Amino acid sequence: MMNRRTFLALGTAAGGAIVLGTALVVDGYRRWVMSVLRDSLPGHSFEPASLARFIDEYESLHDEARKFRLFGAAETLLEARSLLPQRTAERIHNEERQVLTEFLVGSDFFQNRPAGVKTITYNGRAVVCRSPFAVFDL
Amino acid sequence: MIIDELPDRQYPVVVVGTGFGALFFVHKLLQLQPATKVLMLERGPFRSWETQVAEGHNSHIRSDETFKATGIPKFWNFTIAYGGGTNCWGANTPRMHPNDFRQGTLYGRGQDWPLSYDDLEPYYSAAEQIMDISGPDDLHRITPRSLPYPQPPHRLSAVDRIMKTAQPDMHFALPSARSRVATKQRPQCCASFDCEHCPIGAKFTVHNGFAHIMDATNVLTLVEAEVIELERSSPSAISGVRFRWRGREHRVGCDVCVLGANAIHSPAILLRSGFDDPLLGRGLNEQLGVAVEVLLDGLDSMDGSTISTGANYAFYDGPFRAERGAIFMVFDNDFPYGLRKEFGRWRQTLSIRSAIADELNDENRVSVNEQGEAVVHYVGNSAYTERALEHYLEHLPQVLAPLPVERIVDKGLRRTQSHVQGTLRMGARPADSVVDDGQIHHHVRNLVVVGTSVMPTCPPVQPSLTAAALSLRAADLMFGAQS
Repeated sequence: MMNRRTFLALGTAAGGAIVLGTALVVDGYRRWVMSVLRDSLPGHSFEPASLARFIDEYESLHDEARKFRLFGAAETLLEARSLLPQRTAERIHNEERQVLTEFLVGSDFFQNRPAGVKTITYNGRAVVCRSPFAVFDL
Repeated sequence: MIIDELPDRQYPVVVVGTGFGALFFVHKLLQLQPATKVLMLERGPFRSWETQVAEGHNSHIRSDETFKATGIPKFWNFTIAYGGGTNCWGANTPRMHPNDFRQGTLYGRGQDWPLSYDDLEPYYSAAEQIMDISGPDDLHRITPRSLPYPQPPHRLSAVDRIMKTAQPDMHFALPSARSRVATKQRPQCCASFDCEHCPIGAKFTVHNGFAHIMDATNVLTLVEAEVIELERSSPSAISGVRFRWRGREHRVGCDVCVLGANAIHSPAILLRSGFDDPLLGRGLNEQLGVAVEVLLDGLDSMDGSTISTGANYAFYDGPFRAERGAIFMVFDNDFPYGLRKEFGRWRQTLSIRSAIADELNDENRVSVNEQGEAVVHYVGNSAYTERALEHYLEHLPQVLAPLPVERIVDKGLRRTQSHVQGTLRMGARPADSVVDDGQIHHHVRNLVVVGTSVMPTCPPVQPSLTAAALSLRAADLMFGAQS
């Protein structure tokens, strides 16, 4: 029979694993989002506070984002993509497009910025007049 | 006027529903007889536009929770709230093609409508004026018109401009109730890409377009009033409407009853009321929606002025309709699949959402169960539609030949077009229809059915403008000089 000391030790270990795992998943997801942006926008940097805000907003608004938490965590530990079936890889590609789109459309990237500025600042989710490309001239 | 107490016991006109069909009928009625007292009964709540935008949904009532379903699972989408579909619609407003009205005669498919395009044309124009529709004058080549569009067309995207140059008789600016220019009621559409809850109110809705109905002291609206059945004083006349409101049953008498719930709940109300027309509830349908993404090679697009800018008629009309369904193609100006990931090629992508006409199948139907609930029986699309889909996917590259296409990605079928149609079809004879060309029940002559439930075929275009025009005509026939 398990004595009290063993029980507490095992409980502490299990709890620690859960905390560590959760932290890994959350941290892995954030890293994955950052890697999507970094890979898609070479030569650019991101204003850190606004980037953090973007990740928080994106995750809270998109159901899909939660599903990608685990993948993001796995991707930080190993080259997971090469192991995926084609359909799943397509889903991830589509999600990467959504991440990139939401970030760019809500940022100053498509606005007239001074030449040479390479830091992108996320200003918040674009809801009104969302298209950066629309032209309204009659 | 929204009321918060039980109405009088008798009204000249009682209207069931507050969507397109009901509102445009009442609008015309008020033009013809401004003092007529009207009671509108709406099952859903009143929700201001601001509330809808803030909460991100048009109604808290989910459409699929208002009926039971058997057979092949299918999502039927509609809004149960004051204003009905005027709240949630995408605001694309093409007219039906003149040949859609006689596809039985021309192509041997389905039945002819009991009215012609020419019969409906003045009402199409009137509905376009009421909604300040934006559209191109050259669309006259496909759908002739007696009045110019009230607003100029939306700006075409780069894709549309190439298609227009290559196919001037097939590609047009898409008519729309999303404002091209600001009006007193609506700001200019600024391409927010959330038409269901347009954050600036740029599309036509009951809230910005029918304030005179909402404010009229002789048009009373009771919301959250669910109609149980229509009462008949004789086999040929409706005498009243029974409804449930705040947990109790009530009755109101009427001289004329206008039924405009929708193509699921209107037939259910008639079935609960003991109507037994052979085709009552049959032929439930909507178009089959299909989406593709076209990856473009070097062409930056999306520089149009609203969410969807192009309409293409390449697959719409011709002798082929004897074999396969007509298709209406909408060229989008937004990025539903996201911008492209390749650096600098963000907007080298095109979304095309096409709608394929279905052929009515009487086995797709609405009944009521022992509890009186609406039950949808769905057995699927017709082979006529499937053949059109197959042809479309095979031949789309030819239509898109003017564009620098890198790849076409099939994004699959859409789960709904949000167009619930059929079930109370109009026609010349009781044997093949439920209502006549004036949308009056063949036998119960003070019962008018409005909305898309009366459509006897499934044209590929969005039906809201047609429902609006039909209601203007129905009210004119019943209360105007012709009555």
